[in-house]
Amino acid sequence: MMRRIYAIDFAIVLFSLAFMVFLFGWAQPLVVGPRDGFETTRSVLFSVERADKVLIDDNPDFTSPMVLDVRKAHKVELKPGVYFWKAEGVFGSDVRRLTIKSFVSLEVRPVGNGFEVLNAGNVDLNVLVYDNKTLVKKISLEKGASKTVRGNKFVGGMK
Amino acid sequence: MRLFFVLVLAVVLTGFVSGLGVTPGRVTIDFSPNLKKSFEVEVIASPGTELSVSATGELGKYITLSSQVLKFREGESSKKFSYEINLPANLNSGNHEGNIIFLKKAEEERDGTIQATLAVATQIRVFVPYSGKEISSGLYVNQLEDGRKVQFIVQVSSIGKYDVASVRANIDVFNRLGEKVASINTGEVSLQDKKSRELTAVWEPKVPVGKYLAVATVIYDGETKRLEKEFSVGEHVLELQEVRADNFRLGEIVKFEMLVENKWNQKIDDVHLETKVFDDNREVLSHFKSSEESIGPLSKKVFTSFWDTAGFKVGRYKTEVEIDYGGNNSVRKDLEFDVRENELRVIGLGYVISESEKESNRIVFVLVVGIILLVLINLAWFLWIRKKLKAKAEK
Repeated sequence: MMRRIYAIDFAIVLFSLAFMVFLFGWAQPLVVGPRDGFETTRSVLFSVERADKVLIDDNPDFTSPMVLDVRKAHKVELKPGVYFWKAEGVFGSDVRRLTIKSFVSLEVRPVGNGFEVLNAGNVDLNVLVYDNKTLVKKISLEKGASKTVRGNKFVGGMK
Repeated sequence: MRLFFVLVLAVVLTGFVSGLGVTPGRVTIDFSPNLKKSFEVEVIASPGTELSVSATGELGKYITLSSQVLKFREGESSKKFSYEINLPANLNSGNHEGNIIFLKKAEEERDGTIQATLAVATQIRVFVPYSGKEISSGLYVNQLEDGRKVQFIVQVSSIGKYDVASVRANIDVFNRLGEKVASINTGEVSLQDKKSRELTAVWEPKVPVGKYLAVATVIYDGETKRLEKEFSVGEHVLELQEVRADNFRLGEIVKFEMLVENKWNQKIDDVHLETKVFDDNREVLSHFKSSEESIGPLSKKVFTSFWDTAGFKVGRYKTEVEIDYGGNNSVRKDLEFDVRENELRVIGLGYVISESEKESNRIVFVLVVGIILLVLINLAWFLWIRKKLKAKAEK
């Protein structure tokens, strides 16, 4: 009979430990994406469960993080650079890393006597405007901005 | 990724004739004598394009290109391109740049118009540390908790040949008269294992609303550096406290009463509220304004506006309420309207999420119930059932 009692003791202690491990494991945020080391040139979509917010910062100490309320928004647009992020609910998830790659892109179309130049990338650009081989001017174009200029050669690079 | 680039080009080419792109736009590396390193970029262009490639700039002579021509086949809209940099034994301290330029020559269209010559550059930047111990730093100021707290952030980076063992900062705050009103210290960090760190300090201002100057003295291994930044305390002097829509009926014109508090110690004139209701794509579905009024110092006022809900359905709508005052100042609040047939719930005032809707509340509930259950099972067994069985066994 005593042996049976000790067996039940052992079973209950084992069950309690296993249940606690399961419970606290379940309470951890589930981070579906993006994966650690993710790279992109545009906005990032965060897919997390059992979390209220996502903290995003450019350093793994999260000294001044951007806080994304995942109940209101899952997508965020970040400037090019390396970021660290983690989900937070009752507990915090592990820290993951993501990279926003800079993308330099220029589009032009003829307009009247000149060309309309559009910055279609994700960074601000300096654009050198040439008329044949002569440098005419240097313009700044914020991302998404366009300007009409006279020239026939355009060279765009990051500011 | 590739599909994304193709889509970008497809969208822009509906309005534009010629396009070209490269990613990344810049890579930055630390100098090492005679360093040899390869890099790869992705170039985006229309199928069938031919690009000439060249290396220019101060570091141009140290760059070896994999090819001087890059040809896109039909159906190909992005291509990888590699290059190698072979640094010399010595370079001066500071940043040095080289460019790899992808150039698309002008072509004549069928209608006789000439396209422009288009080029994009990807940059390689090499940083050579300064002699001795040196840091670069920047001071930033953030408002926290709706202006009740001010966070100072000092970003520090080691740019010298030798590591910096200890960095800290003292931040003095001055008012417009030049009087010091606060002095705060950050913690101390080391730049030995990391190149860049942030020093932060939080200040709870007990000063009047207005403009102030933060002067940070960064102290590192016996040296100092001074930074300044102007900022405002209590910028958001008007606060939206309550939004009510009594007798709400979907499909009818609804009267909104919005309570606004003036936290400043002066009267504010020309105050009005503008409300925008959006769909899921952030398109404005409805836009309505209140009348313009004044709010006395340190007091509250109700602003009335009307929303025509004809055509709206039951559901949740992202909303923005903007308090405009003093000509060109405004405070914005993002809310959500939970619209029902005879009721409107306003979500987002006071808290980012209402407490009852937090995911973590649900998880805490499950954890607490689980632990209590476990404790009860253990108590029941060890304090009661086990004792009875043991007593039975001993008989």
